[in-house]
Amino acid sequence: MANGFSSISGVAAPYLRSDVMIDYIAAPGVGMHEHGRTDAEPHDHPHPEDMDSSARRVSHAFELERYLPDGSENPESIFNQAPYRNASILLAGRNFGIGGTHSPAAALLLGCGFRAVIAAGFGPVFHDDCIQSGLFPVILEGKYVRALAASTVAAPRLEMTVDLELQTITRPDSGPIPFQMNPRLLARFMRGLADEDETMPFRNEADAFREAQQLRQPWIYRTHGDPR
Amino acid sequence: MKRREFIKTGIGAGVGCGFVPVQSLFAQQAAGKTLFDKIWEAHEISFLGGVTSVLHVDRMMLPDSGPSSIRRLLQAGEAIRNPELVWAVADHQVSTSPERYTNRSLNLGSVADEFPEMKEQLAAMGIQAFGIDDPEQGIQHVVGPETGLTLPGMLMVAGDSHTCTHGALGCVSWGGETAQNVLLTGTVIRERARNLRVNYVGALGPWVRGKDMILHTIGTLGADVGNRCAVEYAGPLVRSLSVEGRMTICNLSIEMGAATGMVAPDDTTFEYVASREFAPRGALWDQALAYWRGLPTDDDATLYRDETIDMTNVEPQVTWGISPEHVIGVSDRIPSPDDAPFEKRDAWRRALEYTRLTPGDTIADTPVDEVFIGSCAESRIEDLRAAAEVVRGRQVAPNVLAWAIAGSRPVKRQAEAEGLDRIFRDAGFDWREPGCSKCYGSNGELVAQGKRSVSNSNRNYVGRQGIDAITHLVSTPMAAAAAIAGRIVDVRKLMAGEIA
Repeated sequence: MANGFSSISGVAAPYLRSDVMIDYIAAPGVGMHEHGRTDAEPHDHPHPEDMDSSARRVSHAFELERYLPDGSENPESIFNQAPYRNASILLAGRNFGIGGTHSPAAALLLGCGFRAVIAAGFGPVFHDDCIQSGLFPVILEGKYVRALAASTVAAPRLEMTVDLELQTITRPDSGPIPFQMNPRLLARFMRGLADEDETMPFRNEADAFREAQQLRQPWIYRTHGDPR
Repeated sequence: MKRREFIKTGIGAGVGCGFVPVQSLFAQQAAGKTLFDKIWEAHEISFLGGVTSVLHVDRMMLPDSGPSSIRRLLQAGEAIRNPELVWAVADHQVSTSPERYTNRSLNLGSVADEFPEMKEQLAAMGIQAFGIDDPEQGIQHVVGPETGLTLPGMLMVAGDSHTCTHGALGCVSWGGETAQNVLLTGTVIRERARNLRVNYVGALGPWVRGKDMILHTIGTLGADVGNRCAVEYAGPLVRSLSVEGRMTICNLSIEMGAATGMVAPDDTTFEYVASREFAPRGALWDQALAYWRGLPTDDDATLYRDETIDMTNVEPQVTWGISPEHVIGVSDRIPSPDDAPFEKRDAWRRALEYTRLTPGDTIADTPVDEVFIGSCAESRIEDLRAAAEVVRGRQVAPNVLAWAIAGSRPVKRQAEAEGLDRIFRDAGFDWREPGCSKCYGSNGELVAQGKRSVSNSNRNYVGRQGIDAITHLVSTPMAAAAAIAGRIVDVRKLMAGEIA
């Protein structure tokens, strides 16, 4: 899990295509086969801060468009163009990450250096994966995302700031745009919490629950066919 | 456990996508309860306000990386919470080659060795682990129900998306949980889903089955209809299905974006569960059964959404694009992006570009390079029987690479006892060992680059089965028919002798 952060500033990459499927962000068979990525679990990827620069290069988000069939970089992909190559904020369209699958997509975006995604809407499962992985998902009305994208294209090197405390997005050339976020999730990002950090405080309640359940529903605690 | 009132600020609602009707959740408190609500509330350790709760996990299911996840925690000095509720099976990274038992390097990672290395240690903790040498190894969503590790009324979680399959037994099951959290705490923190019910009416035509029901549903309602919903599949048609058929339907719940999919437990379920290895027996069985009978949705339960799907005249389904919602009947013509709803035109255009199909052409007669029969969607014994019926006495078309993979080693043994393996082999199929294989390719088994695959699995995304590989999702008998004909065909016509 990420270290806590109260704001992120960086170059934003405008990628406003709608309905980008989660398997397009992280094509499963492709990366695993070609690059020997063998973990099928979505959450095992190292955080970008734990990765050295060579590790960053082998991250495979948007691999299907970032690389040409011969393995070289596709210069037409926005992710290969300066200054977006070092972007830490992704501007996305409607239904970003749809497709319902739990996948390494959020972790791979982190691996590319992204810390926040601002979209006109997310696939719900991907949204959950972002939260679990530590990639900050911001939902904004499409017109605001488009406005941010327009000013980014006009002045790509101007840094954008996502401020979690103020719940605003700002650029030096435009006023702050407010966003809404569930307070629990906001706190989670600001403190850099993982699921277990949130569930651990309920240890005693969990123990009490287990004791009661063992009496109420003893069959859940396997009484037959114990491990061979 | 005392239930606290919902906090009326709606905190926790509306974070995700679109509109979360807090009102309907309030309404559910007063009225009867749904199957999902009953199981959710029975597992609530703490209600955090809004729609968020900490829940007790009855079963944590781990994939290939399970033993190493556990080892890492133990080495860090951590204890596994509720180890007797944890089980693991090697499926994603195992080779499906018959050589995999002797040539261990065929299996990716160190999965083939980690299970046997850890077996005793895991067993001592009460953790059941199925490595490739285990006679009950298979795909986790086949193994769980088959062994009775999955039972009605449970809350079962895993990392894998298709964990929703287990809901066919009348439990709540979802993927996307981290092994770390569940192993450390035995709990999950989640936002409560809304209740969507899909009622199936009408009758199934010949060779139309659970897979066609769910593909038609996703095509009709859209791949995002299930967003933030727990889907209950109901109605007489679902009641008439076997547990295997129900599993196929629940398996694709995630393809409509749902948090989970379920079917209320009934006598069909109880008959399936009884006598499974890890199912309760004797007095415990009676106690469990009495509890399970109280789980079905109450008549006066309030639903967020109630949909009816009429299966009358629905044909075997075939996908033409890169989302399971891109689906048509086998006699239909490939649609034009101009016919798509405005906001989907661009997506349809990209889909057709990827699948190299032309609007107006029939989907039937599209030539096929590879056929895959396997996966957690449909690889259970009745699926293999249906495929074998199609394949029997016929030959796989030249130039088609056809694989048949039983979902688990017990399914494989059963199929071999019935002589199904012989039917597949004689026809020219590869009869392989259980695992996820080409559905996902994380064991390195992929559809060849740019080739066209007809698959009975659950995902046709870009690159899902391999680089530039095109996937047409169909039911198992439709996949078998495509292997025989060398092109997409209507299995009904093949069986009627109308196709050479």
